Order: sequence, then C-alpha cells, then structure tokens
Amino acid sequence: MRSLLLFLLALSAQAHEIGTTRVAVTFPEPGAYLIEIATDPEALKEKWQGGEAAFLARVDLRFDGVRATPSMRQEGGAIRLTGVLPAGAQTFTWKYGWTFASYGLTVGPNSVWLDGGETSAPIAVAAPAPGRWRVLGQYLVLGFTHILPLGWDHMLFILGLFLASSSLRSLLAQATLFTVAHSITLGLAMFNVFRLPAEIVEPAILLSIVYIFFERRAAAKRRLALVFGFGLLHGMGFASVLTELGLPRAEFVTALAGFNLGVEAAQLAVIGICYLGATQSANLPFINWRWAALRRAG
Amino acid sequence: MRTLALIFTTLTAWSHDMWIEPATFAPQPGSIVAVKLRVGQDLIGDPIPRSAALIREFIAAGAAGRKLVVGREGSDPAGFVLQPATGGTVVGYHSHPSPVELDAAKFNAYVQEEGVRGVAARGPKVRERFTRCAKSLLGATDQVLGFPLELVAEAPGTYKLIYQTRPLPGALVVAFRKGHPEEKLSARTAADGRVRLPLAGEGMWLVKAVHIVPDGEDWQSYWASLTFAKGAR
Repeated sequence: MRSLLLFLLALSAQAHEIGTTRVAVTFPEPGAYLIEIATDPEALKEKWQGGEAAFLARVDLRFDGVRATPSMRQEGGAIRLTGVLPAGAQTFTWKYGWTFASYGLTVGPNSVWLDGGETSAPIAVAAPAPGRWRVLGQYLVLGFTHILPLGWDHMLFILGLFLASSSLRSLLAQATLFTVAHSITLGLAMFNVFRLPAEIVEPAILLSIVYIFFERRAAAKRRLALVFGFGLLHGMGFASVLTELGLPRAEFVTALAGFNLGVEAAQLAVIGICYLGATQSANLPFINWRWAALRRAG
Repeated sequence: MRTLALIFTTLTAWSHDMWIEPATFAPQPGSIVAVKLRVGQDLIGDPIPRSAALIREFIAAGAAGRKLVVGREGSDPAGFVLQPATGGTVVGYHSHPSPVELDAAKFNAYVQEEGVRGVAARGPKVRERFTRCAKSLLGATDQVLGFPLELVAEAPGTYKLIYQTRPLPGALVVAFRKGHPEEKLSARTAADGRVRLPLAGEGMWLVKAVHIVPDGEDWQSYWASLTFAKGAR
C-alpha cells in the first residue's frame, strides 16, 4: 500500500529524487495539532546534531500566516511536533528545510508532494468531517482494494484455501473462520491491545501462504485450527496497513468496520472468481477434478 | 588556479548535492558493503531509495572489471558491493536525466551558488534536465568510468574534471569534509581540467562540480560528485 501511495505521489512530483522523509499532519483532538516527520534514523541524527533550536529554524509552520512554535520530541526515526491550534485558525502552510529531496506531506486522507524547502499551498485546518456513511464507504473500498487487486499475498492465501478444499462447505467454513480470526487481531491491534512488529508478521504471512499451498494432508479439524491461526496473523498484517492509512478518531469504529467489511467482500469475490474459473474450465483435465469435487459437495 | 577557503553557511542553498555514501570506505576484502545514495547539502541529507527509473548506470569497477551494483528496488541502501580481494572498488552512479521546472530567480540563485558561468534564465520559468554523476572510492585508486561529467582523483589533492571525455576548464570544483561544511575549499579547473585542492583533515570528503549546457530552449545540468575518506573511517 505504501509503495502504491508513493507511486501515485511520484507521478505528480517534479522529478526531484524521492527521499525517505515523510511528514504527516493530524489534529488528534480539538485545538491541537501533531506533525510527525519520519525519516532515516541515521540522517535524522545528523540533522539533529545542532540541537532543537537549529532544527526548528528550518521548520516553518504558519497558521493563517502567523508562524507557530511547536514543541518537539524525537522518537527513533521520527520527530513529533505538537502544539495548540490558534483560536479560529483556518489554514496552515508547511515548509521543511531538512530534507533536500521530494517528500510526501499527508494531511488526513490527502497527500501533497513537496520539495525540500518548498512552502506548501495553504491547507485547510478543519476540513468538514465526512459523514458516517461516507467514512464507511471510503474504508470499505480501501479494505476491498487492499485485497483485490493490491493484496496478492492475501489473494494467494484464499486461492490456497480454494485449491485445498475438498468441498464448498469446507471452503466456506475455512473462509469464515479466517474472517473471524483476522477480525479479532485487526480489532485488537487497532485498539492498541496487541500487535506484533511487521518484521515478524510479514514473513510469517508469506510462510502461511506457502504452508497452505503445500499442506494437503491435515485432518479437517487441524486444518480449521491452522486457518484460524493464520487468520490471526493476516489480521495483524491488515492492521499495519490500516495504521499507515490512519483511522478518523471521530468514526474509528465505523472506519474499522468498513475496512473489515471491504476485506470480507474482496475475499468472497476472490472465492467467486476461483469458483467461476473452475466452472468455466470444467472441461480442462487439470482442473476437472477440482470442479467435480466442488459440484459434488455443492 | 586559485584556491579559496570559503566560510559560509548554506541554509538558503537552492541546489542539492547528490553523493554516494558507503557503510565504510575501507571495507575488508571479500566483505559486502552497503552503499547509500544521498541527496542534501553539506553532506547532510536523506537517503534515496533505489529506483530503476532513475538509474542509467550503477556500477562497481575494480581491477577485475565492472559489475552492476545489486540492490532491491525501492530499498535503502540502494545497493551492495562485494569488495574484491585486491585493488578496492570505484562505485559509480549515473542517472537518467530528470526534468524539473524552476522559477528564474531560483535557477539563477543556484547557478550562481554553484559557480557556473555564462548561464542565466531566459524567461520567468526555466525547464531543466539534471543528470547525476556520482562516484565513491572504496579503498581504490580512482579510474575513469566514462560518465558525461566526471571527477577523477589523480595524485593526492589533484582532481580532473572531464566533460564528454574531454577536460573541462574554468569549472568551479568545491570540496568539504563531513561535519565541517563551513570549511569549504574551491578552485576553478585549469585548461587541462585539473584542479588542486589540498585537503587537510581526516574523515569523509565530498568533491563536487556542476556543469550546465543549453538543451534547445531548456538547460541540461550535470552534477559530478566524488566521495572518499582520508585517514581511518
């Protein structure tokens, strides 16, 4: 997902090299702003050497033309600027002189592309909050597209389930269990109850795909347990994507539910495509056995 | 040839250097060295992830010949180099030209900053294509890689600037050390393209030069850089 965003941003860029800096502006609560500058930790250390005042000298944040003086703290490869929104502030501009390449500035769901040292156009502080149905729709689409067509790993997993199922009933049971499992971990992660680092989750998801493709001998109950376990894992993968995208605080649960529904819809679509493919290819000898088995079971 | 010690800060600099920064300039023979591409000022800057769309040549040249610098698309470090048993490695990065549009004032400011003569905006907007030609010495004696604009380290303190295989006279070459950007050395190349910069002090050094030529109504700029270490690093 990140690479897609970067690709889309890059299309609009003025062809300066794209660096590793990312800046995200949020308004976590009424009257407050949070600006997170993420960059390479080593590069950040060099920029930080002159101290806070020197660092802030190259940061220019203005609300309605008046320069703000944010508080700042460094956390790993990120710097967080926080402060109080001036009363009645309508717009802000942003200029960051500590990167020398192009970088993405994300404000809520919108992104703009800036060069190092370039001042952004005025950006609205308080864009009208989208309604509940709109949020549901937006995140439903995001959830769907995260699987179809962007989530080849999850699609492969579903395909693995399809190919390894001996009946339609078995397939639907596994898909349902997978859904329940990943809904649990997605919810736990998004509510900051439990999460694992991507360095563990992503390779484990890949292993789960390999395993589901080659594991054919597991007894039905053991297979259901495996699928449930893998579902828990994939849920944490979804969580990292959703964390990157961000969830609107005001409609947190709506957005989470929408994303989950989108994922489920996409999963069903993948199963439907597989089923349709099997139907249409029923006469092909290599797939005939699969369709025949499903038709018997269905 | 005149050597100047320049003392200034570049907080408002318009141009951005690009250089190669290996994990070490003195790798053990047989070791694999991570190589970063970086864009910035005063040797402070962001890493640039590897981009196939930008790379025209990304090579490691040694006594046994040239090899492509391998790496994963979109990742930082942009590449990895296997240090040969003998002779060291010259790493070279030559980009495809990238288009950029600048305001005339910004263009003129950076042209002046880089000491490029005879170039000025011809309208309110300037369209330019810029090409990076960066090199780095990993325990190696320098060699010519054949980039359009190329700095070559010859005898200690002597650098030759080559443009399209010929010496480029009258170009400003600037050198400075990481952590000491206020102590810049600079001089213009002589008729034979050579410049003498007596670099003093241990650490990582960047030697750089910019050359700009007309490209129809637009401009084509070439950015040469050479990084290496003096003393232990």
